[in-house]
Amino acid sequence: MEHNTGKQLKNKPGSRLRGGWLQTIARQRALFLMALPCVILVAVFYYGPLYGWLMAFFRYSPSKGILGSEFVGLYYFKQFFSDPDVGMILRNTVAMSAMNIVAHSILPLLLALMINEVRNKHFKGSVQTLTYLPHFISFVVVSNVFLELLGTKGPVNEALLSTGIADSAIKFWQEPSLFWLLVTLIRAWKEVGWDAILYLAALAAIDETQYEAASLDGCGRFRKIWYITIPNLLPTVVVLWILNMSGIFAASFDASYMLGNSVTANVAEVIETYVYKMGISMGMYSYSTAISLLQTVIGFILVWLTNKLSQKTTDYSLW
Amino acid sequence: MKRNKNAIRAGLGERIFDAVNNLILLLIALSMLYPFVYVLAISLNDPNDSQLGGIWLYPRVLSLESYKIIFSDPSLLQALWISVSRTVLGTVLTVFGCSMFAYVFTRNEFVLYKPLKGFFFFAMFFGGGGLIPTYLLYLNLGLYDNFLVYIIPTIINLWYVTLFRTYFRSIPGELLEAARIDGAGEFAIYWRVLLPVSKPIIATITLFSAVAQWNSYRDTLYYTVDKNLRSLQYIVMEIIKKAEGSQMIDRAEMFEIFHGDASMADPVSLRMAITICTVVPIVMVYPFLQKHFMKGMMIGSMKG
Repeated sequence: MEHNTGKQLKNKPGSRLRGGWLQTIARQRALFLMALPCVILVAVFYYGPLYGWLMAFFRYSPSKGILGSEFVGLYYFKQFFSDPDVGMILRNTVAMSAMNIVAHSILPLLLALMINEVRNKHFKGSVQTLTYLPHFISFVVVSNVFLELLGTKGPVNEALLSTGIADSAIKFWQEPSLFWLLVTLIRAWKEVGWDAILYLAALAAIDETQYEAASLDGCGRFRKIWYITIPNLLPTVVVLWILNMSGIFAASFDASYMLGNSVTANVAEVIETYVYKMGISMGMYSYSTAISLLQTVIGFILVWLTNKLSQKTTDYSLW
Repeated sequence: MKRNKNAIRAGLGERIFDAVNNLILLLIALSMLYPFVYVLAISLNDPNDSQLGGIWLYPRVLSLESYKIIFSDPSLLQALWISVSRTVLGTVLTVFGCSMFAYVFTRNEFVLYKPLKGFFFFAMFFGGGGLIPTYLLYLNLGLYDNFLVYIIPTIINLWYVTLFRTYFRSIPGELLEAARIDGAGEFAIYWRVLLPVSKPIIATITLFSAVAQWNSYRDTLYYTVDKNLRSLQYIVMEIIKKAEGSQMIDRAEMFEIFHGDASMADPVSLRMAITICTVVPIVMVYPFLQKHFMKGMMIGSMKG
């Protein structure tokens, strides 16, 4: 969008030189006033917490302030790595996010391809509407529902019992070996439709004439999917997969916090829940901040690396 | 798909493909719907009867008892009030704040345009902080244990600002120029010219913001202790955690301990009725806003 015409009409050529910057400010005071509250909010809530990161390097005491507290260098980082639970926490975090990434890379793509093949518009619309819906439902509600559905008296167990597949009710939520899989499936259920939107947008952008040409050449549905749809979709797929990879060091607080319990604690604890426990429940501010900082820095490195990789393998990059 | 490649010309293969494809999609769609049907059925069933289990599609003993209990519970009504007020107030201020900020970013001739852009992008990539730095910031600002902690930090969301800006830039400049030549001030142009032609993006951000506000429970968990500040979502979360803490996630076990006492037993019907109360508002606004957010999302995703 160009504002040039208006700018010339209003500012008259050279007005900036004649009037100087004070006059420019006076003329644009409305813009200053509009920007001011927003800038203050960004400064406070986006820049404000940055100072707090320093806490990771000090033995923070609220009465002395961050810089007045004793400087301890990397003490809290070392403490984290000498924590007996560190291996378990990192394993859970990486395992669950890796499973999540795999599910979120494959399932939405399949769903988008399937939706794209539907000919009946109303059916297509209904499927899309229903699959987006769980995205807007909170994880609290989703957890509550699935805890019930998979409970010992829930419909899943009842179906298993009545068909004779299981002899006694399966305690899904008391089974550490199932926890990662259940969390992955529930998160996939919640987001698969929403994540398919990007693929559907890419599918909608494919030039129709390619399909028409293929039809003239006698290609059927499957050949069109294989030789036109999939190759056209490939750049989107590659970029999204690579970008997803950067999330490997971040797990879901919601899933672990709400679906985990004392029986599954050993497989449910992730960095996010540990930071919350240490920081807010136990008041170990510096220690908790050090772990968050470590996670954030590794996250940035991963984003940077995957972006580099994306630039090399495809022509796409974030910046 | 590859395996079926040779069956193309038959036509039969295609029809089978269509049938199978539609069937699978139908099952997927039903799997998205079923959990909510189940919750509704349990919530409409008699609370004591529900604990026996065996309900999977429709209520066995139809009763509004659970809803009566919920809507006569003062702490739940307070939570409902908190949820509604934070959603309405937070959403209005977010849409207003983000769109105004985005408008400033469409004015290239603004003297602070370039510095502001740097300020914006740095905040987008590096801004915000870990849990504890944010927690201490709120503590220092007096937002801790204050209703405003739900509102003020969420007013400016840089992602929403980006979506607004992208949309504003797609609006023909002539419209705004005409107003400018007529001598309209910046705010008047933003308010009376730009916003009325930006309904799809306003609907999109309204939906995102309202859903985020309504669904939020973590800010309550992290930044408040006052029981009067609990939201509906937080109450549901609390009930889940309580059931886990006492190892009573199984209805059978719960039934043995709290037989018959609906107000103490965390009967499953009550839980599901609260769940329905938290889901219904979203299900109700969703269809109205859906047609808009698809458009808004596409524009945002293509440029973003």
